[in-house]
Amino acid sequence: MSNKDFDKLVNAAFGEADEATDKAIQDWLKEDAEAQEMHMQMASLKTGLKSLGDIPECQLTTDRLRDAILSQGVKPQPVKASWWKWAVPALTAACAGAFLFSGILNPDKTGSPTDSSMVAQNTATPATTTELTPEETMRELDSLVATNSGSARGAAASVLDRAVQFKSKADSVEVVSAPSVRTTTRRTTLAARSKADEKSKAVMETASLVASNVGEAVSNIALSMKQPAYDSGARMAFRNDEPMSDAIPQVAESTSNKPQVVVLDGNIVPGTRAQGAVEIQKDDIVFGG
Amino acid sequence: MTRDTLTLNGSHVRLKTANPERLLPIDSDEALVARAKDGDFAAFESLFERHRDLVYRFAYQMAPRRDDAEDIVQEVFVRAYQNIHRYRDEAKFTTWILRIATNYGTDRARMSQRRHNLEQQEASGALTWMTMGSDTEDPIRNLEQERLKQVLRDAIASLPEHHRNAVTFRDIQEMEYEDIADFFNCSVGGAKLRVLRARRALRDRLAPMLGEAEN
Repeated sequence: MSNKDFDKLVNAAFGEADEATDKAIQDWLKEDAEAQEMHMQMASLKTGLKSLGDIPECQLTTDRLRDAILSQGVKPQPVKASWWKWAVPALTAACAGAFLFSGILNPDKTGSPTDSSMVAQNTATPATTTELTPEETMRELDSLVATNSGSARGAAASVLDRAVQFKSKADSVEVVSAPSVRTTTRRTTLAARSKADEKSKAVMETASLVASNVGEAVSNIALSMKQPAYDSGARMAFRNDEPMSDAIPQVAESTSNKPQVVVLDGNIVPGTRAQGAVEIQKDDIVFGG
Repeated sequence: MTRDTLTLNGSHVRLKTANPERLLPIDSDEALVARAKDGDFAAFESLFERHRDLVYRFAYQMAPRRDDAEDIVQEVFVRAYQNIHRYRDEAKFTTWILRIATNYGTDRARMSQRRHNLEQQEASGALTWMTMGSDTEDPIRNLEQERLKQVLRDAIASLPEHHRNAVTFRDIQEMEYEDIADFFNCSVGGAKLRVLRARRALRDRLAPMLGEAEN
């Protein structure tokens, strides 16, 4: 029997031959006794091999396996957390902190009212220069009077503009706060408003006085030099809701019965650290040569 | 090959391996292996419970005693756990675990066989019948059957390793040719040829043994 024929018999005995091959082998077995004996041996071998699979049930448990692993010093490692499982909360907290910090450093000036601070409802055009406090306004005006130059008028206008905006802001203040702190904030607002009013009034009076004196002084100079004069009767436009629109200051009428000129000297007053000044009667001043 | 990553997507697991990214059931061997690599011992326990009997039936052919076969199974899975990081998903997990069993079981089988033969000599055959756990209704018949089984096991054990594994996988454990081909890293046709040659070799080994058994 050739190996090829033997292989066909084995496949047929183990049930792995196709239908056509199996039929041919059945016909061959009817005619060949040796092939028939060999086919029976292989069928018995198949039965015997299959019986080797009948074994006692395995009783090895997972606990026994775990103990065996641990006894050899190999500890089951905990599940490694993916990096993003801790990174995401940390990043979220960092972003939230940065957002809050930036919000604290840069509060929204034009945004919705969310706190108890005073929020100006001024519809005026935002100032292009820094707003001045009354004290700062007075100092700057004094310095301008001392310089007594042509550019002083423009500078004075700028100073007055900034004073106007400060006043306008102090005037048109709205209380925006949570209901729980409304009362306190309103009192604070009222106090601040009255205080601001007093300061702004003082500033305006001083500014008016200085401006009028400067304006008149300039007018006199102009007249003496036969140059076009400004309208000394023009009124300064101190509207609360509009800045000064003209570059040339509009001089207001002096409210004093005796016009005076403030002359600054170079000395610094120790107490106030401001420049020393002397009020002089207008009539006592002579301009020109 | 990049490190295996695990991304849960509903009930499926997406594995990023050398092969193109594919979607696997979350309870597949590949998914459990990936989790075991990440330190999830429960996943490894699932693999153990799933493939314990397969390894046990294979080990039992090498060491035909329950205790010895269980020891082999235990050691095989311990080694698998220790080397889980070396597993590559080019081959099936069953193939990988059976290769570990083949490497370890051979030496252990020799030890078990020597002890078994010693026990048989001491008990004059009666112990053999008791340890085999056969049907007690006809002890003579059972003894005869067990004797034939032992002859068959001895014949299988005398085969070269590749023939021994082929016969064990196909004719004892009734594995599919695809899995056998995966183990031998060959085609299905090559696996069929291996099994055929192993049967022929076994038949050649059995003939004189059957003659001695009858005598």
